Amino acid sequence: MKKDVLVIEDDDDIRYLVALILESAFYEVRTGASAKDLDAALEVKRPDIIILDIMLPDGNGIDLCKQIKKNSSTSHIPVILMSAHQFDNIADPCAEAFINKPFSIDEIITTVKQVS
Amino acid sequence: MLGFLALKRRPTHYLQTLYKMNSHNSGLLAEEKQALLAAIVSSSQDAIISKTLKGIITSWNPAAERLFGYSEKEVLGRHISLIIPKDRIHEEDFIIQQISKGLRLEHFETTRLTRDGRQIPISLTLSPIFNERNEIIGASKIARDISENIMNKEEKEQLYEEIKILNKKKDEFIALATHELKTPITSLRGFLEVLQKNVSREGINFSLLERCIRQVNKLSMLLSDLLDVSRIQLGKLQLRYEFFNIVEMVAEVLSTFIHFDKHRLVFKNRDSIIVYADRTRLEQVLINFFNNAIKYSPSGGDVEIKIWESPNNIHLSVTDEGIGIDNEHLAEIFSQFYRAVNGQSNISGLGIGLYISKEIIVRHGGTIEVKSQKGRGSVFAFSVPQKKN
Repeated sequence: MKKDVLVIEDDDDIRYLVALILESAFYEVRTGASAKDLDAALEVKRPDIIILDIMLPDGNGIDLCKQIKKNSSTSHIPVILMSAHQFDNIADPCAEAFINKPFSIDEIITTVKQVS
Repeated sequence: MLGFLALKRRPTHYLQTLYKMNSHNSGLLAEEKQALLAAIVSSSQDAIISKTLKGIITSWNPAAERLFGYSEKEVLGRHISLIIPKDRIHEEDFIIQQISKGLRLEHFETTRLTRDGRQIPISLTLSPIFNERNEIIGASKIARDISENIMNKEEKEQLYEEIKILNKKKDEFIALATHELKTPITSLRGFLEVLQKNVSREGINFSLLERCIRQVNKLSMLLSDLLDVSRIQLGKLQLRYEFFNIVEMVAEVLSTFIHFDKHRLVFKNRDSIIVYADRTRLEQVLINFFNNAIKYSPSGGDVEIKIWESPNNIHLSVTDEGIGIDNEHLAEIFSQFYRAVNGQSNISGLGIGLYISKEIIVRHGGTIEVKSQKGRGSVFAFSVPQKKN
């Protein structure tokens, strides 16, 4: 069965790109552009993997990741954080993996494979 | 007591000397001398006042009139407390005490009162006055208005604060701008890669896309460098330490540099050397060294990377056979925005790579250095402390 990846990224093109890359690698992809979309998507179905941008218009990816990890119904889902700032200053990263922007196709696929 | 910059046992004898000159009739005539002295006192820009040991004012020059607002006539015979703010009246006791001992006070910074009630910051210099029998009969006092100095100082401090704020804003702006620029670069690079995967490897389109991707990568690296500079200046460059095999790391980095026609890469290390450092950051330094070696040896040649251990450190060097660097440039080569080759040259770059490299190595507690000979090539090297597990 195809694995289900939830991609939360506010930039339309990057969201489209990540979805395109993952679909071509035979993942089932759902997307959203905000913290609100994340909550809504989690309500509908628990994904196998979450890719989360750090700077969202209505929230911070790190905080959202912590919430996911705190909630017993979602804490098992691997989270990949994505940011254009290098992950230098994160005290408690909480996520399973990180992707720096700009990324390569291979980085996206390898990282998703690693955590799943 | 605050405000006393100097307190010296150096009584002023000039009035006394004048009396002596008068009696011996040596040099200038006594009247001439007196007139000269009077002229100096009256034309002085500093307030010059004399008073008895009891604090009674005995002379008051025009500058004192201007500074304090009282005419000579008004103040002669009055007590000096006239111009001393109430909360500073104790200073007078101290001053008289010092003067009575034959001591001089220099640059005593305090405030005094003007006729219209303003308090002005002044610097006082006080000297005892002696009579012919060498007895102290009073004090001469030079008061300089330092309100302008104080204003200048305040102004400077304010300007400095403003510059600091602006500089911080600039760094924050660079951080924000580079972040914003990375978003379009990310999708651009990604789409180019997707496109490349969909064209045949044989056609020209594949290699054109390859070139596009390489340029986008260059853009992205320039942005990362800018971001690093702003991080360094904001004090936000942090290191993530881990144990890793530096020989393997170098081999990996070199494997990504394969497109060289003119250069031959030489890397002979085989045995693993474990170092405790920030792997990504050391990679960055290596790439900087390496890119410089390639860039500054346009006619090609060997580029050799060596890694070796000493009892407490691990060393890495990159040697090229390029154009070399003038001695005069060597000292500054690790400073920000410095480029050994002037702006007209066709060698590109922001001139911040080595600055960032230096910061990275210094933060590791290591050292970075360069040796070069014009026309023969350069050796860039760093060493970092070897922390054993």
